[in-house]
Order: sequence, then structure tokens, then C-alpha cells
Amino acid sequence: MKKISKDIFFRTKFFIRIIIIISAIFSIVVTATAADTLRFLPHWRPQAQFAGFFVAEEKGFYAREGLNVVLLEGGPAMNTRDALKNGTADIISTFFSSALTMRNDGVSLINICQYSQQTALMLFSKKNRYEENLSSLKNKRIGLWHSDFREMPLCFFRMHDISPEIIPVHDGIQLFLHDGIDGLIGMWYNEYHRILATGIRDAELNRYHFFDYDLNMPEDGLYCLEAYYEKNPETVEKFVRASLRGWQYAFNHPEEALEIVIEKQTEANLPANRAHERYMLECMRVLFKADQSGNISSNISEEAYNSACRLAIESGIISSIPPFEEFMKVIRVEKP
Amino acid sequence: VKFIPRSIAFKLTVRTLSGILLILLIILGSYYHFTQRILLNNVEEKGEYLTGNAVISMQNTVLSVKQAVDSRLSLLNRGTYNKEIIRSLAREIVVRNPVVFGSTVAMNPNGIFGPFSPYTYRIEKDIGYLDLAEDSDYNYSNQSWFVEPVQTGKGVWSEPYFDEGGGNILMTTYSAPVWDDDSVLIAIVTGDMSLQWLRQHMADLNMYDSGFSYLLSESGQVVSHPDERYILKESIFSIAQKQQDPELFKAAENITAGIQGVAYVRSSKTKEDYIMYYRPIPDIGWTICLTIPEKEFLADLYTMNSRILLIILIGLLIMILIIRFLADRITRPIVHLAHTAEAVGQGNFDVSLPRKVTGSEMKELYTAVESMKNDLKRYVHDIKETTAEREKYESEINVAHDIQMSIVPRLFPPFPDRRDLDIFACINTAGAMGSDFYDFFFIDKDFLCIALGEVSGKGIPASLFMAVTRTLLRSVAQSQSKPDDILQRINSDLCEDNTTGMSVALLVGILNVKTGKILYSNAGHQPPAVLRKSGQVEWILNKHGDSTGVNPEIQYSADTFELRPSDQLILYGDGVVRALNPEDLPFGQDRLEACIKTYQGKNPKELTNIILNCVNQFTEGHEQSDDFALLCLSYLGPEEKTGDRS
Repeated sequence: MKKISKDIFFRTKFFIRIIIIISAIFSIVVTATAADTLRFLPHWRPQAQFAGFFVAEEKGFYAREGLNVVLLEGGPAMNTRDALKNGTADIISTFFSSALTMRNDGVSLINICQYSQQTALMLFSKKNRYEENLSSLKNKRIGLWHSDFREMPLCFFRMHDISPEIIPVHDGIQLFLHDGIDGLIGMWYNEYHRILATGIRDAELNRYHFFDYDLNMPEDGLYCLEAYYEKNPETVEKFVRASLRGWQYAFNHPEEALEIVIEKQTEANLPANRAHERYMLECMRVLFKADQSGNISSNISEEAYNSACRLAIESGIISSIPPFEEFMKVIRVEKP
Repeated sequence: VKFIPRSIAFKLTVRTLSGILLILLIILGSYYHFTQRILLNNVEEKGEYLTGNAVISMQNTVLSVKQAVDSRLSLLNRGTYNKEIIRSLAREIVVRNPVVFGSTVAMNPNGIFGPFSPYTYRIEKDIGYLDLAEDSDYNYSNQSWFVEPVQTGKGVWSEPYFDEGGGNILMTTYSAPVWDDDSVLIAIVTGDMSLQWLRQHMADLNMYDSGFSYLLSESGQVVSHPDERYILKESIFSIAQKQQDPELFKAAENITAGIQGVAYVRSSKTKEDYIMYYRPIPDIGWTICLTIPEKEFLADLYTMNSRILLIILIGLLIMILIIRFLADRITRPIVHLAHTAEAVGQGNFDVSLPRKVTGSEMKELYTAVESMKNDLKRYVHDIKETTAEREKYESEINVAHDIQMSIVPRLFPPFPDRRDLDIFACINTAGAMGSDFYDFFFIDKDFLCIALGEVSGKGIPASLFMAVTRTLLRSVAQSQSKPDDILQRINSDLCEDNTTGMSVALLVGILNVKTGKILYSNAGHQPPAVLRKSGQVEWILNKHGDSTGVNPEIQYSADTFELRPSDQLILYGDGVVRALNPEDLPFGQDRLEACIKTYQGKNPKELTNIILNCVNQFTEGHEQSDDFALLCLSYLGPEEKTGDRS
């Protein structure tokens, strides 16, 4: 009886040991998984400009990488610089010029993926009010958003000696439509199309693409703090990989991607117009220089980096060029 | 009357009805067209009236918000106020106007009060309050509701938006600036108008079952729509793009330009046509659109049209019956006439035509048929008489023919007891009476006279002339034993009182049956042929003068040729060598020679038949105008016994 009891005792102890070991391993795994939660803040409200990220989330590309990505809702109320600084977001997207400015201002952020290769910024005025030459807007009232992303437009004004009265506009074209302002800074993929969608014809607009006025810079890219990257290089890598995959999927399945984007916009109580989002997604394809199969580049060459930075210095956006290797963390991802 | 295709009744029905149907369809089409236009006008008027009413009613609401805000502007302009008064201004706007959801008086941040923007808003049934200036992130002076009136210098309505704090309510904000006497901004006063009330309002605005209305913002955004998925998600431009309808694009441009109008659009999804009335609401710049499916407002017209079509069909059926009845009445006498004509055609001339006939055309027809019947009757009577006479004549001719034929020897073999010769002959007549003849007879026991004659001309006179000639031959041969003498005598006899101008080509030969020598004289006749035992054909070509019966002065001579045992003599008339085939080629001597030369050894009858076959084969049944006589004589050599004189 006793012997039997002893055996059982030993065996029980053995089982308990095993359970403890398994629990320990499990808890490590769980901890590791928990560490892979990251918060991503896009630099504007949900729209097709971020389709790839929404698709990656919705199609489970992040989950497949073992990531738990919290997609924060961007917009004028969510300043990406602040979010990064105060730790609200782990990874943000923003303009290249804005990121350079932040870096210049001492925020130790690094570029982990530069997916937009070209600027979509532009200025418009109405033909019935102003002549086609840019100087016609000198000293006029020009609408410009008041939060982030002002570097390039300000640089544009300086470069072309426009010195306008800058009127803060939020997210609207109303002021422009009502002639409350003389010109409006906008994005090719957004404001431009929204203006057209109110019945104004392309021929009725003077359009000044920054690209055509020697002011071209890479635009949307992904950034995180240097410290975050050093702590979680793999997580960052996984995020970039899954995001690119999301973009590829969005370009290959535009209607499905639009559905996801519109779902996001509806959740955020935003006006959502499929025609507009479709147009925006097509613009992204062009700006990202996506190839036939929807692949996009995740970085830029050192040469392109240096020329963009030189432009930034010339236009007074930054005072010194951050070293390429330090700022541009080239994350090699195999083709998604 | 049977209703068979191509009958008069059928044609009458089809043609009359086609005409009537065409006219009816034209009437129906015109009726449809004009009625559609009247209905369209009515609907247009009604649509205009409805949208007009809706515009007025909405404008009232919009104006009440605008006035609530604007009335406060003058208070701010007038001077003395403190923060509390400012706060109460905003509060009053909300409390006194149930449509106003929230209101703020946003002071110029650079003014005496600094950043100050008391905001009063509804929370369920309560009133809430906050100072927008306290939220440093918000920075109210950068918000479009603040900037837009400042920049445009006037009150503006914002594009509709979902209020995030206020329970997902669709809102629009009216904001207006107030300036002091030095044109320095004092404040921006706003009124948020909830668009919840729109829903019922727009739902009430419709025509017909599936008609609906929707509201578009100044930039064409859908503000209200029966399908909630459209609200703030679609604009009139994106809808037009989806529908790919140029008409809708044009309407969209008008709408954003604030012009009212009517568009006739087609849904790409349902493929239905719609009429769309759009009318801008002044002050706010939005547009009400009323959409009416054409199918519905034309439904009554469709129903009416189908009923009219049914009536037309019934009418057509009745017309068919009437026309059939009429056609029956018209064609009945014709059919009767047809039966009469059939009876007349079968020889019943006593069949009577109806006496009572109405209508001049039918009377004319009846008179014509009656007269035709009488003419036919007379004609048939005449024909009967003529035929009887003809038959009589023909039977006489036949008798004459028999008599004519009986004057030439017709019993073959003619000398069944003789071993030294055999003869076969025939006359092939082209008409009822022949004008050719043959003859043979023994002058005495050793001399056989053979002759073949051919009278120029045809018919009864020629055959009578032939009979005369043959009779002359027999009688002359009694006294003359030489063929030239015989011919001489016949010629002079025939020439005497020959007023007919007819002549006779005559060949006379005297065969010495013991020697086989033939003394012959040929007066214009075809040369006889001798088929020798060897199979060689020899033509006896000598002629001794023209035909007899024309020139009494002609002196005939004679020649001799010899038949050897087993030789055959063939005498034939003109008709043999001149027999024509369908290509009008004559049979000719060469064919005759070719025909007979392979048949040496045949008896005369066989040889005759062979020659006739050859001629028939050549002519292939082609009708011949010449009759001819054909005589074959087989000379078998002298016989030991003496034969009788035939």
C-alpha cells in the first residue's frame, strides 16, 4: 500500500514538474507574443492612402507574422510627432520631409520603409480668377493645413517667391470652392480629385505639381524611434514585410481593398466615397511606382536620399543631413 | 366560302385588315405619344410643385438656424458684453431653436477676451456646455468653421459631417463672422443643425411607389438618401460615374452650380428610366433631387394602351367575320358562275344562269358568261357538223386509198411456184393517199415487166394521176414489148389533155427470166441498184429522158443490164433517198448502198424491211413529206420447169 502510495507520490511530483516546465515555456512564448504588439499611427484619417495597412490587418498578414498591430486612427487631432515622442504609437507613417524636420528637431526617429517615391503635393488656383503663371499668386491667400506636413509647401513658396498669406485649412476644399482663398495646397490623390468631384473641370484649374517645379522628394514612409528599433528589430521587420504584402494585395485586389478602406472610414464616421477612394488607390500605385504584380520598393538609394536631403537643406527644412546609415534603416524584406 | 389562302375572301380580309390595323396602330402610337407628353408635363408640374414645397419648408428650417445665429451677431456688434453674456448668447441659440443642436460664440483669439469659445450643445434632453478654447489640441481658430467665414467674410454652411461626440448625428454647421467698425473680427457665431429631421422630411417627399428623393450638399455629396449607404459616401458625381450616364453628369454640374432642372436618366442597374427633378435650396446651397420612375407614372398609360390593344384585337376579329360574310356574298355568284362554266365545259349548255343578279359588275359578268355559253353552244354545234363532214370525207379517202392500193399487186410472194425469182414491194405513204406506185407482171412466159412510178404532186389528184398511169402501163404493155416504146406511148397518152401539169417519173424494165437480162428505160426516175451476189452494189445510172406526161416530143431509148443468179434488183422512189433526219439531212444513195451491201442473201421481203428500218432509223421519227415505193427482186437464175403466166 505504502509502496504504491510512494510510487504515486513520485509520479505526481514528476507530473507537477513537467507541468511547471511546460507552463514556464508557455509563459515565455506568451511573453514573446505579447512583446509583438505594436501600435501604428497613419499620418492621416483612414483613406486609400493607407489601404495597404488596412488590408494587411484585415487579411491577417500581421497576425500571420505573429504581430498584434493596433491601427490607431490618424487625423488632424493625432499629431504623429507627439504620438511617437510620448509613446502613443510605436510606428508612424509620415512625409519624408516631416520626418527630416523631426530628426532635425532632435526626435531620434529612423526611416524603416520608404514606400512612396514621389511627391503628390500640388497647388491650385482657379483659372477664372488667376493667370496660369505662378507669380499671379504672389501675396495671395493660400490655404494650407496647419498641423504637420507644412515643410514642403513652405519650401515651395520660398523657392518661387510667392510669400502668400497662409490661411489654415483643416481638411476641406470648401474655402477654395467659395473663393474664400485664392489658392490651395493639396494632394494630387485627394484634394485635387475632390475639387473635380464638385463639378469643377480640370480645365478650369491652374495646377502646379511640386514635382514639375524641381521640388520632388520621397513622400509617405514608415518611421519609429531608434530605441524602439534597437529593442524590437524583428518586430519592425515583420511589420514592414506584412505591410508591403498588404499593399501588394491592395493593388492586386483593388475592389476588395476599397471595401476595407470604406469600412474603416465608416467606422470612423467619415464621408466615404468609393469613386474617390478608387482614384486615390490608383494614384498610390503611381506614386509608389508599383510594378505589374503590385510589388513596391521599400527603400531609396543613398544617392536619392542625399539629393532629397540637399534639397531640404537648400530650402531650409533642415540644417544638417543625418547620415544615411543612421537615418535610413534599410530593412531587407524578401519579395512579399 | 372556304377561307383558303389566295381566295378572294382571304385576300379581301388580309388587305382590308392590314390597312385598318396600320391606321389603328398609327392612331394608337400618336395617342400614346401625346398622352405621354401630357402625363410627363403633369408629372413635371407635380415634381416641380413638390420639390418647390420641400425647398420652401427646408429653407424655413435652414433660415431659422441662420437667423438665430445672425440675430446674435448684431448683439455682439453693439458693444458691452462680458464672458457670461457671450456664454448665454450661445446657450440661447440652442435653447430657443429646437433644430439647433449646438452653438458657439468663438471670440477672436487676439481680441480682448483672448481665446474664448463657449459651446452649448444638447445631450439627450439636457444642455451641455464647454469652452472650446480649453482644449489646446483643438485650436478652434484653425477649424474650418472658424476660418471659412473669416476668409469669405460671410456666413457659410459647412459640408455635412457626422458629429462624433453627439451620438453619430449627421450635422451641418452655419458659422458667421461679426466685425467691429474697424473691420476687426470680433467673433464667429455658429449654429449646428442636426440633419435628423431631414430623414422624415425627405421620406415624405416622393411620388409613386418607387419614387424617392435625396438631398445633395453644395459640393454634390449625398446628405440624405433612402439607402443609408449613400449618405456621405457618394456624391452626385460618383453616382453619375457609376451609371455612366452623360445626362446625369450634366445634371450633376447644374446641381453644383446651383441651377434647377430636369434630367432623364437611366439606371444602369435596373435599366429603368427615371425623371429627376433637382432644385437648389437657397441660402444653404444644397439641392433636393426627386426621382420618379418613368415606368410608374406611365403605368396608367400602359394599362390603357393594353386595353385599347385588346379592343382593337376584338374589333379586328369582328371585322374578320364581317369581311368574311361580305366576301361570301360577293363571291357566291362567282362560285355559282364557276360551277356553271364547269358544267358548260362538260358540254351541258342547257344549264341555267340565275336570273336575279345585283351589282353592275356581276351583271356584266353574267351577260358575258351567258353570251359565251350561247356562242359555245353554236360553235360546238358547228364543230359537230364540220366533224361529221370531215369524218365522211376521211372515210371516203380511206376507201379511195384502199382502192388505190388494190391496183398494185399486194399478194406476196406473187409467184409462189417460181424458183427463178422472188419479188417484194411496198408503198410507204406520207398522207392518206399515195402518189407512187410499183407494178410487175409477166408479159409472156419469159418476160417480166417491172415498173416503178412517181407522180409529181400530192394528194388525191396525184393519186388519181398515178392510177391513170398504172392503168396505161398495163394496157400499153399488152401491145408493146420494149420499155422505151411503152414509155413513149404512156408519155404521149398522158400528155394528151394533161391540164394538171403533173408528170410521172417512170422506170420500166423487161426482165428475161431465162437470161437475167433486163431491157429498161428510165424516164426521170431514181437509178435502180443491183446488189450482186458478191455483195457489190451496182448503180444503173443511165437515164433515157425526162418524166412522162409533160413533153409529148420526148424520144425515149432503152438500155440493158444483166442480173446473174442470186443478184438482187432494188427499185426505189425519190422518198427513200430524200428522207430527212431531224437535222434536215437527206438519207442519200451512199447510205442506201451502205445499208444493203452487207445483206446479200436475204430474200426480197427481208431486204425491203432492212431498207425501211435503215430509213426509219435515220429519220428518227421525223415526219416525212414524200411517200415512196420500194421494190426488191431476187433473181435466182433460170428454172428448168416452165412457170405459168401470171
